[in-house]
Amino acid sequence: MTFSDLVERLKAALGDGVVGVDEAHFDPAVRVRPQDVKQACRLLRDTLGMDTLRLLTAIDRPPESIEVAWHLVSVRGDTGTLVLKTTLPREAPKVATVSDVWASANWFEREQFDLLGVIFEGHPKLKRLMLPEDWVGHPLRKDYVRPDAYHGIPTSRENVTPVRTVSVPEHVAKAPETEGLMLLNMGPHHPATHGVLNFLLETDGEIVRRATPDVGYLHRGIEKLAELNAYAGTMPYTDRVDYLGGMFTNQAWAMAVERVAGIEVPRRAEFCRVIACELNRIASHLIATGCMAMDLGAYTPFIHWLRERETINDLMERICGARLTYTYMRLGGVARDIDAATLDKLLRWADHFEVMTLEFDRLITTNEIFVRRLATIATLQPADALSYAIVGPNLRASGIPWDLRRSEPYSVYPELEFDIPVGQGWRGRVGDAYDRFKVRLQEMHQSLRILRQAIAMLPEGEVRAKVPRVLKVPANEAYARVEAPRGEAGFYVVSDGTDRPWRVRIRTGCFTAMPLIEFLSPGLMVADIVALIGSLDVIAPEVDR
Amino acid sequence: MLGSLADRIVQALLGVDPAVWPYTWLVHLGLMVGVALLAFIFIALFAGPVTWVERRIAGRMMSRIGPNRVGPQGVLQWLADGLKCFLKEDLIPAEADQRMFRFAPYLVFGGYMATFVVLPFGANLVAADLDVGLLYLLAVGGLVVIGILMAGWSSNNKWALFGGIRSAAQLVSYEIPSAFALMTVVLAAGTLSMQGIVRAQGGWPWEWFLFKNPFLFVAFFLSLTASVAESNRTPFDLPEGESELVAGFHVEYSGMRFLWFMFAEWGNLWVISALGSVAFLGGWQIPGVSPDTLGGATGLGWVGWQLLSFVVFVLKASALVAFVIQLRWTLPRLRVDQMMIVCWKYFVPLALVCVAGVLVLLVAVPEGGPIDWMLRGASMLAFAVLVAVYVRRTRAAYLADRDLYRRMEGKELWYPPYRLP
Amino acid sequence: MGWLRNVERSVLSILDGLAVTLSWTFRRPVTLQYPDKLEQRTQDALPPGYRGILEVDLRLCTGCLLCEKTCPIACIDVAVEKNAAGGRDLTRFDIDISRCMYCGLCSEPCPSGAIAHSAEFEATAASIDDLTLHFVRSPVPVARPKASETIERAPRGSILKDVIKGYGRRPGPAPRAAEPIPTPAVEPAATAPAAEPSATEKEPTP
Repeated sequence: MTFSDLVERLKAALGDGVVGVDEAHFDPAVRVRPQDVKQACRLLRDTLGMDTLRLLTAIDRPPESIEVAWHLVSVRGDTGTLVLKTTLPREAPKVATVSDVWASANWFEREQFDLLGVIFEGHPKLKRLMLPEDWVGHPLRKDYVRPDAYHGIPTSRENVTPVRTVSVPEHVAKAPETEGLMLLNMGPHHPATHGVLNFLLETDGEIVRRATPDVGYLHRGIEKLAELNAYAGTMPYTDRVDYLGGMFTNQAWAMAVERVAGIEVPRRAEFCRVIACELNRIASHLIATGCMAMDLGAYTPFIHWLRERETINDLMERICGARLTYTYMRLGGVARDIDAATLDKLLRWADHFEVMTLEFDRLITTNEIFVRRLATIATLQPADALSYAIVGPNLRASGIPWDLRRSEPYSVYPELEFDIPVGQGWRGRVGDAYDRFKVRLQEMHQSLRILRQAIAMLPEGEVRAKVPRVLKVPANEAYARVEAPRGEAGFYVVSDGTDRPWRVRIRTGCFTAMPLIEFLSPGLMVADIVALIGSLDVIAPEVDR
Repeated sequence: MLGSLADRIVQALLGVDPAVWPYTWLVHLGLMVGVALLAFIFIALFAGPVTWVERRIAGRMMSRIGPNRVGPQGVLQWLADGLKCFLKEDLIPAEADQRMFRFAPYLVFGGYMATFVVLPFGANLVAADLDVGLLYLLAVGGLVVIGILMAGWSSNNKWALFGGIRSAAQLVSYEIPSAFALMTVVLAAGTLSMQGIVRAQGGWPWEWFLFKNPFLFVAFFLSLTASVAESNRTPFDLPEGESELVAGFHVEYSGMRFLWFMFAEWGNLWVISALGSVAFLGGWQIPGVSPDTLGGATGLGWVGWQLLSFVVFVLKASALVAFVIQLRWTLPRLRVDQMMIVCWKYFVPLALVCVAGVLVLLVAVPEGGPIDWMLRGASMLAFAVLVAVYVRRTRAAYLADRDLYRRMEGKELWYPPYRLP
Repeated sequence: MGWLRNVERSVLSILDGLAVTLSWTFRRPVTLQYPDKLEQRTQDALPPGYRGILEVDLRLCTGCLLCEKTCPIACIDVAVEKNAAGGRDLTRFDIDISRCMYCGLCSEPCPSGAIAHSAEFEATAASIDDLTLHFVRSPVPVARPKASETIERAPRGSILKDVIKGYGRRPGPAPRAAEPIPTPAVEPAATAPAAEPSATEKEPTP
């Protein structure tokens, strides 16, 4: 179904509700009236096959309006993608919630309420997400002024008087405890939460009845920082969005800006990007699978994987000069060429690594205790996965073969041969934690396959297109996404004709995976929560940005 | 014994009649404290170096070196750690139950320390050869349960409480298969006394209880696993689940109080290995030397034989220690309900079957007869097959990667791991 | 029966795992004992393009301020003033290495290669103010635009050792004899010929 068909169907159902169509944009959008948003969304999901809300963005357009954009995609259907937009008055930005249509909207709407002040009527719990409950103001608004201190903690480094006592906010000091349940704070400092994440577990003995994630400890405001920097200058910040998959966020940002600005990337650069990204994918999955083992008590496999990752870090050092915060990609290509000695080392290491995966399998993957800890735990059904906009290995483990490299191809992936590992319920049920673990292991093998092909097919040529140092981008908007190890790393860039973007929205796989912990945890034991968090491969900086 | 020694000292040094002098009890007390200190140092010397051994072995399994800086090859690391713990601030949470919090470590440590009394370190080197030695050992181990529960509860910390409760459930549950597995040994030896159990075995492997019959063979593994569970080690370390509860029941303890728990934990590793070697591996029995030779020797010969039997005992226990360490660093941990299922649905029935089997065989099969030798042979064969499979897989893992790695030419920061250091 | 199958699977898989860990105890550990028991100093073992602490060779700086403008986190602070003779002087060149993201965006537009990453990564200091490196001690005239063609850039790390407070405190092997190391060229390996050791980098933009 093409875009115009969708528009026709919407017009047929909503009549005057459809206000306009933005076809000049790279992702064609349909504009509707605010009061028709709910009906349009219901229609899109039920009859037009849009089963996933992949991104919800609010864009501040002072002085009069705030725009809200819904990015929809049809994963199991054939209707492609669609952007739904509406314009709200800036003084009272209210629109109906769609969290009863797509579950992923729940946290998206909370975040946009938090950062931009848009009120979603009918939302079950419209509280702040990233910032503390008693924060004043909405930071992503263009007229936001940062307060000097928060409960005594200064907000800038200059002119700081040392603080001796900090007052504890009320909502932290008095967390409510339900009758009959024990409130356990799986707090920000915890070895198994993969970063600074907080979970409020309400348990009945060992069994968890409710787990509420509390995020925002690592919120650095990268979306706001991107508005203050030139397009090229945001590249190092994108490394820090997903520090284990820096190459992917680099590429997603580069692709978004290249799309909006109309920059073409030379072929050799595309292959260099693929090589760097697949190597990064292996490194990321090493940490993901290793940490799963470590959280369950097996420390040795994790250290073995770190040893392999050391070699990848050394290779990355040769490729781009850094071991973790790569900043390798540039607008229009990559920063440096990869020399032949590095590629040779890479190929020889790849042979060694394949043997290491066999050892890893014997050590832990087939270990009966390990299997019992993961099989049939936290099974994610495909329908729930789509409603929560789960992407990446988590989605594929539930049986849906959705991989952006194949379903929404980009770069030179159409020319490369590889398989998409899909969960098969190897030892338990399809979509359980063990499936998520094994899917990641198999993806590493596929990445090796891609690496070998890409190195063999590497053409001669430039690695970087000529881009003006001060890049002014005409007013447009585009959404570019890549298949990162944690799912979809996407950047929605709204440009305004200057050399700095007007709005940048970062879509990460972990942000939509976090509500799953609340959804899947009732009935699990405390030890299983650890396994669940590890199997979803949640890391804090991706959630909080 | 110490009382009469105290009397003699008072008589000799002070020339006073000990029965009349009012402070004889002080000398008696002083002597007891002195002996306790000596015992403590002796025990510490077993707990401390075990940590060093564990850390070095664990390091090598993870393709890294363990501690090797403090002292030659790092042998003094445990002293440095101990000293550090001594000097740390003693933090007791304000809301914690002060008395229980302070008392709990001593229960745990006491439970561990008291087991040393009955361990037969050599042919005549045992502090007190009680007639009910094995029973005493199992009973005293129960003090640890109370201590851990007290520590978990009194910390006023929900995570510590989790650890305490889990540990109580675990330790109490696993005492049953442990006791039953050791019951098979008692049946075979005919006595509960530790020295009696050792003397009922011989020096050569086929004289050990391990190979006496297949039921005892299985009972050995049951006993070893149950002991590992008793001492809170992976795969049964949920009370202390490091990646879930950070430190479980002893999370609020710091400094010397924490050190008591650590002492008990690593010392316990030694104690369970010693127990396993006494019960199943023949204890201090030297291959080829009969206990009469050991008992009949005099003078330097006596000392030499005692020393040799001590060395044999330490070697056997150390082998088990190394195995338990390797278990810890290979396996993930079991969840609470899985641990309970394993205990009650797998270990307890198996243990009961072993007891019944040993009973039947002891009654039906005459000692030293052909069937007896066949059973021993079958057990040894089973063990040999296990070891052969194990060694083959180890060698396969080693070789599979070596040749590929040789192609990589270690350069710059790349590592060639295929040479023994 | 399921019971027996569980026991069999457990025992065999545990045996497999034990075999793997035992095989590792016989392999040489991969640990490099930093910093004192290494064969060569780590800074000398890093690849040439490593993005370590920034270093400025003032003899080559033309005062164009491109690095300051490009830096995404505003950690470079350069001041250029007119001097008595009518030319321009560099009066301040501060880099706050506690803010620096080591991204490499500043060294690319530099027309003469004055600012570049060294291989240094050790600069621990007791106070955060010590983490601002002051490269200008007394005003230095800016270089002519073609200075890089005649002046050879100082070897990497040689300027930093006077600028970083407490440099060189750590024990370890002696540094390799100083030799100029080329800064990484932006041109792809296929087209441009291999740059000379003291090559500068020219950014291919207008």
